Amino acid sequence: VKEECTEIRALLDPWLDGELSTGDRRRVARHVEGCAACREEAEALGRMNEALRDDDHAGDPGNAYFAGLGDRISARFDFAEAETHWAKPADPPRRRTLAIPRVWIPRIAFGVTGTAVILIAGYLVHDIGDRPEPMPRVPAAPDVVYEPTAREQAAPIGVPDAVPDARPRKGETGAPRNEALRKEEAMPSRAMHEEVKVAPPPAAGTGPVAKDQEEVLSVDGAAFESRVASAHDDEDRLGSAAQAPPEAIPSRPELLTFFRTALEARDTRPNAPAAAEGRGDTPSRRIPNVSSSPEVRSLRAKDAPALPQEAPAPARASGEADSTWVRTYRDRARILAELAHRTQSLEGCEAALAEYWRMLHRDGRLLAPDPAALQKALDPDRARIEDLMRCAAR
Amino acid sequence: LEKVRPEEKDGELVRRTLAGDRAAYGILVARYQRGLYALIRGIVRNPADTDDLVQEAFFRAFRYLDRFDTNRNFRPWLFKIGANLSFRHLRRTRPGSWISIDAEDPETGLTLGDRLKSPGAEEAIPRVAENRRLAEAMDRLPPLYRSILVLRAVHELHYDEIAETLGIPVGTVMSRLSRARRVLREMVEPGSDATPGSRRAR
Repeated sequence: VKEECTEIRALLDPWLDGELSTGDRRRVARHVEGCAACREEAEALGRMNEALRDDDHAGDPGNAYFAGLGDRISARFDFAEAETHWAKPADPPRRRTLAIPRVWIPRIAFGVTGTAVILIAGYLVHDIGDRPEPMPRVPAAPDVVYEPTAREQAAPIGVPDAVPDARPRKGETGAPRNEALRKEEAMPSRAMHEEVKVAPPPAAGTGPVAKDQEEVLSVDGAAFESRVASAHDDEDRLGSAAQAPPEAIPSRPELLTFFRTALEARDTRPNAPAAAEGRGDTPSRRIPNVSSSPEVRSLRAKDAPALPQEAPAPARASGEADSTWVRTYRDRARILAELAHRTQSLEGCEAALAEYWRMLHRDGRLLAPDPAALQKALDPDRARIEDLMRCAAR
Repeated sequence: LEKVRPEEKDGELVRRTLAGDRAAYGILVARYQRGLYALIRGIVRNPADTDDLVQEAFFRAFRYLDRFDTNRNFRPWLFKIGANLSFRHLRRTRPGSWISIDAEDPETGLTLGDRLKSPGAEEAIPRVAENRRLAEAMDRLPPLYRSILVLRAVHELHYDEIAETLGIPVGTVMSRLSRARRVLREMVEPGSDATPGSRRAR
C-alpha cells in the first residue's frame, strides 16, 4: 500500500492538471477514493492551485490598465520603423513532423521498441562525431530546446513533406545565401541541447540581428530546415552536404534534419532496406564531416561510451516478412544511433528516440506485420540504449 | 484598439498585420494582454517591471512578426518572447536576488530546502493570510519555478504548451512543475506532509 501511495503521489500533479492517460487517470482516481492520505494530498495541491489563481487575480492591474495598454505601446515604440524590417510575406516553410504521442513516452523511456538503435552506434564509432559542451547546471533561464510542438505532434506521421521553399528571399541571391550559411555553420555552436540561434537570412538593408534579439527570439527548426534545404542541391541533398562540410559541431535541429532527410531519401528509393547493407553506403559516410579539433577528439576518445565496432548480426524474427522489417528498422536505427551518439546528451538521445519511434509508427500503429515479433527481435538491445543514455546523462 | 473579435483567428490577424493593417495587431494585443501580463508578473513579481516588459514583448513580437508561422498558435510564441524577456530582465537587473533552492546560505550553511523544513507557524490560518503567505512565497521562489506555476495554474496551459513556451521538454515540465509545487507548499505550509518520494529526494 505504501509503495502504491508513492507511485500515486508522483501522478497527482499530472492528474490534477488533466494530463494523464485514461488508464492512469482511472488508477489514480480509484486509489484516491480509497486512500485518505493521498486524497488529502491531492486536495492540498488543488487548494494551492486555487490560491495561485487568487494570487494572480490580486496582481491584476485592472481594466483601466489594459484599456490603455495598446495606446501606450504605440506611443512608446516606433511601429512604422519596425515594419520596415519585415521580410517580404511569403508562404511559411512546410514543416516536417516530429511526432511522439504523449502516451508513448513512458514506453520509449523503457526502450521497449526503440532499442535497436544503439547496437549500431559502435558500427559507426570510427567516424562518430563530436562532443558538445557539457550541459550547464541550473541555468538562469530555461534551456531552450528543440522540441516537437503540439502542432507537430498532431501532424500526420511519416509523410515526407515537400522540399522546403528554396527560393532566395527578398534582396538575396542564392550564392550569398550559401555563403552566409557556411559562415554561420563555421561558428562553433553552443551546447547541443540549445536551440540553434539562427540569425535570419539578411533581408535587404538589414544588418545581423543583435544578440539581444536572438536571445529573445530564438528560431525553431523549421527555419533551419529551409535554410539547409536551400543550401543543398535538391537533386541529391545528401551528396551536396558532403561537398560542403560545415566545420561546426552539428546542432540538434541540424542532426534531426539530417536524420529525416537521410531516411526520407532512403525511403523513397526502391528496396530501401537492402540499400543499407553495404558499408560504403552507410549514412554516416554522408553526414557532413563535423569538426574534429584535438580537444573534441580526445573528449570523444575518453568519454564516448564503448560500443562494439561491428554491427551485431541481425536478430532472428519469426517469418520472412518480419526479418525484412527488422532489417529496415536496424537500418534506420543505424542513422539514429549516430544521431544520438553525436548529440551526446540525454535530451539528444530522447529526441532521437522520439524520432525513431515516429518512424516506426503511422497513425498510432506499429508499422510491422507482427509487432510482437519485431519487439521481441529488438528487445535484446534495450540495455545498450539505456547504457548510452546513461553515458549521455553524465 | 478595435474591439476583440474572438472569431477571427490569430493567424489571420497576423497576416493582416503583416499586410499593413496595424489595427489587426491591436486585436492581438487586446486578446493576449492579460495573459501576457500575468505570465510576466508571475516571473518578475513587480508591477512596474511587468508593465515595461509587457510593452516591450508586444513590440518585439510585432517587430519579428514576419517570422511567426501563421499555422501555429500565437499565444505560445508570444509567451515565449515574454518569458525570455522576463528572464533576461531578471538576469540583468537582479542577479542573485532570488535564491536557488540548492544554494547554501553563507551564514547558516543551510539550503533553502533545509530552511523550508524548519517549523514555522503552521496553525490553521485564515484564507487571506494564507494567500499573502503564498504571494510572499512566490516572491521568493526561483523564477523558473514561478514561471511554470503561473503557466499551469493561472493560464492552465497544457504540458506541451508549457514545454513550447519555456522551450523545455514535456518531461521536464512535469518534473519541474511537481517540484515547484512541493517547494512552494513547503514555503507556505512548513512541515506539510509532502510526498514520501519528495522527502527522500531532499
